[in-house]
Amino acid sequence: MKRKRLLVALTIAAFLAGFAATVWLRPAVSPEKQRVNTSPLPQSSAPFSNAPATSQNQPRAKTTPAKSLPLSAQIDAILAALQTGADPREQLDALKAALRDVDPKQAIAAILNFLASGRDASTGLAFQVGEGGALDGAPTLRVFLMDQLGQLARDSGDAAGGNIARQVLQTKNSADEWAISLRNLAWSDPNARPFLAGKMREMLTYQPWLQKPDSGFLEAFDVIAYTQDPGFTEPLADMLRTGNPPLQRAAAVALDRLAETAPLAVMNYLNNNPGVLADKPFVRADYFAKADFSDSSQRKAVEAYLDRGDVSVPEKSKLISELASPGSFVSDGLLTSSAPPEPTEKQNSALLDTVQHWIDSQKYPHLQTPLLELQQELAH
Amino acid sequence: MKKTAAFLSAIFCASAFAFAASNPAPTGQSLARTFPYSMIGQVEFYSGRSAYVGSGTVIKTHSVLTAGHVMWDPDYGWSTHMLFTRSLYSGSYISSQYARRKYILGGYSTNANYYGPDSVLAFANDMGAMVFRNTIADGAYAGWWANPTLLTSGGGSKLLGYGAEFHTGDELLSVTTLDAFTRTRGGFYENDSISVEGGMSGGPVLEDDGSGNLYVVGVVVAGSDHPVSGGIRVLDTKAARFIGSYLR
Repeated sequence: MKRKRLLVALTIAAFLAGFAATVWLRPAVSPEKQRVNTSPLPQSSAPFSNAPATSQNQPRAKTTPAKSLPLSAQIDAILAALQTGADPREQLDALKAALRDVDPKQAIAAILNFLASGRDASTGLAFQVGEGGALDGAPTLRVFLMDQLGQLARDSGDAAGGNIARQVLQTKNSADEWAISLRNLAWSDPNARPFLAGKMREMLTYQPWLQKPDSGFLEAFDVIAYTQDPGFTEPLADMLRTGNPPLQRAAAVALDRLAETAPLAVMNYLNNNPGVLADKPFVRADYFAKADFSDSSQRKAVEAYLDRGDVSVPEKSKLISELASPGSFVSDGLLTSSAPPEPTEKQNSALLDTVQHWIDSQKYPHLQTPLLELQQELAH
Repeated sequence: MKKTAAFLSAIFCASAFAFAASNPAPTGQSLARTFPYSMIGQVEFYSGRSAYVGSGTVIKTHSVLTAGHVMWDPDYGWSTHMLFTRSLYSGSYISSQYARRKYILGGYSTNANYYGPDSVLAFANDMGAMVFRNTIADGAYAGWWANPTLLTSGGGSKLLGYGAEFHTGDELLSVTTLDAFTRTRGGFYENDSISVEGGMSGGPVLEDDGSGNLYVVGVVVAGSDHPVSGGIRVLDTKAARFIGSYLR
């Protein structure tokens, strides 16, 4: 078996004397910048091709339901075809089109009728989120239809999407169905955030799903960013420490996004709960780097953190360094758009003014070096 | 400074050179300063308290495409002090600028498919980018093409970057595949006819469009010593949307 490795190269052994020793960042390259003739502007990027399909299934027979059939009959036909190993993508695409071809009420009724029957079949596809929270891949016919139901209900203002979601969320039969139901309920009821947060907490403590987290379970972590509930910080931090690798990564992304969607709430939570993420100090520092310095409350939360005696100087230095270039995870989420926009001029000015004030007033004498570096990077 | 990177050579020994595979070699300054090679640069950054080097490519006027693991680490979070030095060669360079924004392409379940540093599941989603305040190459940038089929139809793909295991890290290295890439999983492709070395992470994979124009079609993300192989994250539709939506 191949032993693969990452291809970054370490340039200085670990444990430098804190971040003050960052002289290396002014590399010993020749001071003269050789300005060569820049190449002519390339043409805009060539059209991209569609990537090959990602299914790892064996080739299957291809059949397409007859469009002339009533919707319920089409769904039944697809169920039967899936049970015999038909190509799911073509089948489901055809059904999706058929559902859009009729009155939404009629399509919703057909879906509700099938869901009530309790029947199902595997598609062999992975739970995959696409643009706008719609699924690019559904592992079962029921999940596919719940996804369609959510979209149809949202677009037509029908309450069925939320109603079915609440029913599904009463019993823990399928993490994938829970994930799509959480999304459908959020789309259906803008006031459902506390309920969604409660259901998300149930998910995070349900051992069968935690022990073998599938894609739907992990994608449901986007609900955490949607609820903007800082109370999730601690369970996610615990998951970072003790969860299995998939959970650790999902928790890391969720924490980062939660800190982006609710920066003040997360910073206040971390300041009020100093033990949380104390074992991941550089990761904790990142969440304070989401602050918008044009908001005085957020600036004060950062200052409260920098005033803390339990936070080490290297951790505080990490925060200051991260302010120069905040990072975001980008993907299609069930409920949240991916990343905040780049900082506005007002936000940049507020950050620069604050840093200047901190330097001039020697507010943080142990952090003068990283503050001066930050100032230099921001002016670069 | 970068000479210190050579100590890693002792760790990884010279095993990569013991196999019948093409190895990265310096391009020479003249080629490195020729478009589109002149769009490639070295990425210096901190992760935790340690300093590293990787590589990247100017892919839009203000943006550099690189590997995701250059940008983020599970224990240390986001990398900092990310300095892109374009067309570095033997001490001289064209421009140098700190990043102002960092992005990693990957969400809850894709990133969660991470079972260790050698996991193909992690490499399949290993793409990131930096956005800069000012234009990086006077408005020029490398063309890109999200077309994975180019990689599986034969050899001739060029992998580039600033290798710092067996080289100084100050020169642009290039290695050309002898055979086609094989899709391992998702967007992660491998090629056994080449070796790659530490520091090349984030460097581009270039393909000829048949008319002599070179396009970025992937990003160098991984290597294997036993057996020797190079791993890349290809540009696919997700990558194309990432570039189109978040980079400028």
